[in-house]
Amino acid sequence: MAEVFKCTNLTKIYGGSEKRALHDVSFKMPSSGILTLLGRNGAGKTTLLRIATTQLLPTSGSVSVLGLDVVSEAKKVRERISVLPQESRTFPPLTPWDHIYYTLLARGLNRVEARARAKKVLEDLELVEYATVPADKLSGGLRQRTLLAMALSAYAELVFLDEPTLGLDAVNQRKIWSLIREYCKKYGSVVLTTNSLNEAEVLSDYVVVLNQGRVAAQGTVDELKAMVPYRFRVDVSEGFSREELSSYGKVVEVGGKMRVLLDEAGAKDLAWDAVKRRVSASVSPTTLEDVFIDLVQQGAQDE
Amino acid sequence: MSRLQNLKAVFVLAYMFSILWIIRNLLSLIYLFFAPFTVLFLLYALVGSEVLPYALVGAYVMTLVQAGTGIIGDAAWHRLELKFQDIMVASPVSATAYMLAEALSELLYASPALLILSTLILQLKLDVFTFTTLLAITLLVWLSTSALGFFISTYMPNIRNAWQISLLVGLILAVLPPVFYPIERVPEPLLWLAYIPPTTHAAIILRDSIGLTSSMNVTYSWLILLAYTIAFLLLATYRARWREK
Repeated sequence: MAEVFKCTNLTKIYGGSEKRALHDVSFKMPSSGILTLLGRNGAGKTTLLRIATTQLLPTSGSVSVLGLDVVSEAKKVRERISVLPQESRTFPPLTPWDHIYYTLLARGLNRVEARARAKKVLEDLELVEYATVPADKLSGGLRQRTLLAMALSAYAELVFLDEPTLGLDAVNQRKIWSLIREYCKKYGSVVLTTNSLNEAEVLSDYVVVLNQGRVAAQGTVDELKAMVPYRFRVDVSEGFSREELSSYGKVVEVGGKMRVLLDEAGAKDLAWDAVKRRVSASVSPTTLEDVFIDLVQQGAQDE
Repeated sequence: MSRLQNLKAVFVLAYMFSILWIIRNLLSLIYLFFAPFTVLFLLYALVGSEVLPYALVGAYVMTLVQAGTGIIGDAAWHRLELKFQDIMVASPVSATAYMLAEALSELLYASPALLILSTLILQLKLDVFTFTTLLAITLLVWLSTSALGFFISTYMPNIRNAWQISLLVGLILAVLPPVFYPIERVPEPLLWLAYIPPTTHAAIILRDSIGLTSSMNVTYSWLILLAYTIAFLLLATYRARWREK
């Protein structure tokens, strides 16, 4: 069976630029689920997504979506995907119902199908009570949910979401995460881009980390976590010098605090030492964030 | 998606871009409705009633041009700000269907003014020939300027530029050339320039249909206008930026 989404030696150089937005990117999404393209701003996530959704031509290499080549079989690809572009906006006087219903009609559904589908999607995304409210009178979270509804209502086999929770508060972010998960269970696969490590960790079945246009790492969240040779992290804000902390493990500075990445025994020792010194220290398992920071720092050193 | 479904998409999207807006936001109709009548009033006040046949033809062509060039701003807004064009590119809706939807929506915005102006033109000469000519000119000018407008819009780097270019193209096509005035008024050295815009020929044909003949052979004007329409449609179909390189 063909892979859901596959890039092979994908390179993109924008006209008039020497810099490669994507450099020899190769990965594949072997089965259905949620694939996250994770990276900092300018890592090449949106460029990759625009190529995959047939909006942009690659310079070299190939991308296949649901087994179809996005360059030579673009028309067939477009029948089977839908997209939520980054920072897209609603039409101010149009209601959530208008956005969903008329987009479905434009995609070729008949009135009965479109009406039933729009109704179902509004229910699924908890937008029923706002269905007839003009978008310019909705909150940012509701407008974003309307746009997400437009993308999901196509019931496409593969939905591409470019930073779907950008600018949303934590409550709305979580709501959208659960909607994406639900969609994925019922209808198809999702490829999303994000620079939120939390989002990637919570949602992803498979993660591709992009750094400066290259694949820095790929795998499941657990596989990526296993790339960092430390199982625990200890955050301390005072009471230790950097040199002292270095004796326990790898030290990184995060938001003004010292974070030490270390093994279980080291975590116990450092925590006990902190207790003896009467300073606070928090111990937790390593997260995707630790992997990401490690990869990005490695990338910067390689440059 | 079949051709028939794409045709349906044209009407659905045009409805979404225009009728729904007009229902919810009547203000969006005002400019296109008033602009031609302010020009008519200005010319009447300056010159008098004898200028009205020319002014009516000019106002009609100008409204069609504004509908066409309006796409530059609106389609650029849909693409750059709302990212709606991106959603459509990654969907079964074809580029041609999307362009026609944008064009039809602009025509719908302009339709109240066009209806009143065409009624006034037909008051000058009411017969089948004038009516048919009016319909044909409407179709050709709307299609040609819309295609040109869509082509330009896909290359606009930002929305401010799009609005500025839209106004500029409108001036070049509807105000400078002999649209409101007879071509014979153009100074001899500039005459060749006056024959270039397609709108010159649209105005010549319309004026001819209501009995205001000119030195230009109308058949040539029909051929030139048709050629422009085909050329602009080809330009929009094959050179507008739908999938970016």
